[in-house]
Amino acid sequence: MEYVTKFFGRIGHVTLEFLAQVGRIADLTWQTAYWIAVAPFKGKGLRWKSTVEQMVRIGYESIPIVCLIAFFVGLIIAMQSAYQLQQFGATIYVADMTAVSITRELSPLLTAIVISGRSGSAITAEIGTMKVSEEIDALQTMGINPIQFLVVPKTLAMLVMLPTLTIMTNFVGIFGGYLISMATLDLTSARYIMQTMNALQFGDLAGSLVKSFFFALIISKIGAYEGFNVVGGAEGVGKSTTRSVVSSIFLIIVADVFFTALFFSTF
Amino acid sequence: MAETIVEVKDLVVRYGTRTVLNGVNLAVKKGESLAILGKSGCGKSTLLRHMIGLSKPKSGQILIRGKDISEMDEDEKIEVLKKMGMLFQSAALFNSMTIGDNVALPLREHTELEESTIKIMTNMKLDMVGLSGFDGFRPSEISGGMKKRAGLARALAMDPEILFCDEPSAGLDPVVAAGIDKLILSLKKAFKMTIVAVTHEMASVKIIADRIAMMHEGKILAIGSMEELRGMGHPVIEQFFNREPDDEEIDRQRYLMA
Ligand SMILES: Nc1ncnc2c1ncn2[C@@H]1O[C@H](COP(=O)(O)OP(=O)(O)OP(=O)(O)O)[C@@H](O)[C@H]1O
Ligand SMILES: [Mg+2]
Repeated sequence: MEYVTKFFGRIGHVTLEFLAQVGRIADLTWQTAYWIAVAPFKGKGLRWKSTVEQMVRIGYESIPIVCLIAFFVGLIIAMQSAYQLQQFGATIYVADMTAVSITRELSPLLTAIVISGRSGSAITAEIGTMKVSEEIDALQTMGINPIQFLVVPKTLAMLVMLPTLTIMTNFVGIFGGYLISMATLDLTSARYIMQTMNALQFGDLAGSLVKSFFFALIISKIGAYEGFNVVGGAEGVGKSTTRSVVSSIFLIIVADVFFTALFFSTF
Repeated sequence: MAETIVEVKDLVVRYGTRTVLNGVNLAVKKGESLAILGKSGCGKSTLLRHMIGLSKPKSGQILIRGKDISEMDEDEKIEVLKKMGMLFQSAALFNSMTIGDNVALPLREHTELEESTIKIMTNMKLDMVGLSGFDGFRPSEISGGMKKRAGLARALAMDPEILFCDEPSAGLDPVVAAGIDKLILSLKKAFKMTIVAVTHEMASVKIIADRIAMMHEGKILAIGSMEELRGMGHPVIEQFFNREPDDEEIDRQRYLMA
């Protein structure tokens, strides 16, 4: 009997803790939204300089790695599709397969995962280190809001740069598929390009962007939340950084299931 | 009788099941310098954190000019904070910024001053604490005592009405420490700045403090001038002033002498 109570008690405790956490993340998101959308009209400006710095760090400096990954994924998808489609003598549809799976799925997803590992972790580590060394407290005693000062520039940069990177990786991935098809399949360049253009619809690209926008929101919010919740010293920063990356990748995939079902079930 | 500028009422602070502050009452008067003394770990830093509204009390109130700090809205609180300076025990400099930018940050945030004026003011504050010429250095490139002084310069950036210092002269050599004492004294004299300082240096307590608050077991044990405290003849106070170890401390060290 005691075990039963303990068991349900544990479930109750975990559920409550989870809900409390969701509440705190929602609150952080709400406050960020306030500082982005409402406060500027009250004469409290946005930090453009800091935002641009973050854009360079999150976006510009990630271009090589995300493009390289997208290129290889393009190669892989084209090869895998060719392997299947050859059996039906329908290799021209490699173009469709590659274009659609890259834009709808792989480009937004993989770019988000790479950026989560690269920049989501950096957001947690930076805010967490500042928490541990009392820098966040120092900001507060100066009457500077840490969300406005730290979180808003990172969030804005993420919301702009992740979709931008995703547009880029869409092209690079499709290009990778094109190259391998030209090299190994008996198709003409013009035909492949035509086929790709016909395969892609506006909804595919729009869906790609909407997904990456929400992924950006997840990465920046989880990153900041875990940073503010660091306890202990350097070890705490390490733990929170790991947790930040794991939870944002998990939530990105959950959100991906949701959006894929929402957008593409009807198309 | 001078006006009370910060008042702590029945402040209780607990971490988990441990009660750190257990009903602290304290009134800081305008223009005075108050030294807070007490054993390491007795909750002095915790008390300062609550006085500037960094942490919310479990129970009790912090009143700034009679107004409860936890009832202020964001804008009101910013106005209050602008008039307060805080030197953290760890200095808490922004590691990603230079010393100059650290000191300039509050000016850039809260004033419309020209960048050239800010630069002059920053250098003036750094000069006050003996760090002129170090504005381009990063916190990682200066010593612990220098960080402390840079933190003090930053706390003074906005010419606060109240200055809170958590061990301003810890980690400084006697010459520089005496310089900091002198600086604090002159701030009090010239700008009528109210000063609340946590310190263990009895020498500087003698110089800078109008009143001393002695903390013991989560409460203010006694408050008054040096002479008044001496006159009480309380064993804890005597022990502190005479620099005697605890009995258990002596027990613990017995094996060293055996
Ligand atoms: N965030 C925290 N979580 C748990 N306990 C804490 C926390 N901060 C402080 N404490 C506890 O509160 C007590 C008082 O800490 P505080 O830093 O205020 O001491 P102090 O008087 O400033 O000591 P010192 O003179 O060594 O700086 C300590 O026993 C410490 O263990
Ligand atoms: Mg302390």
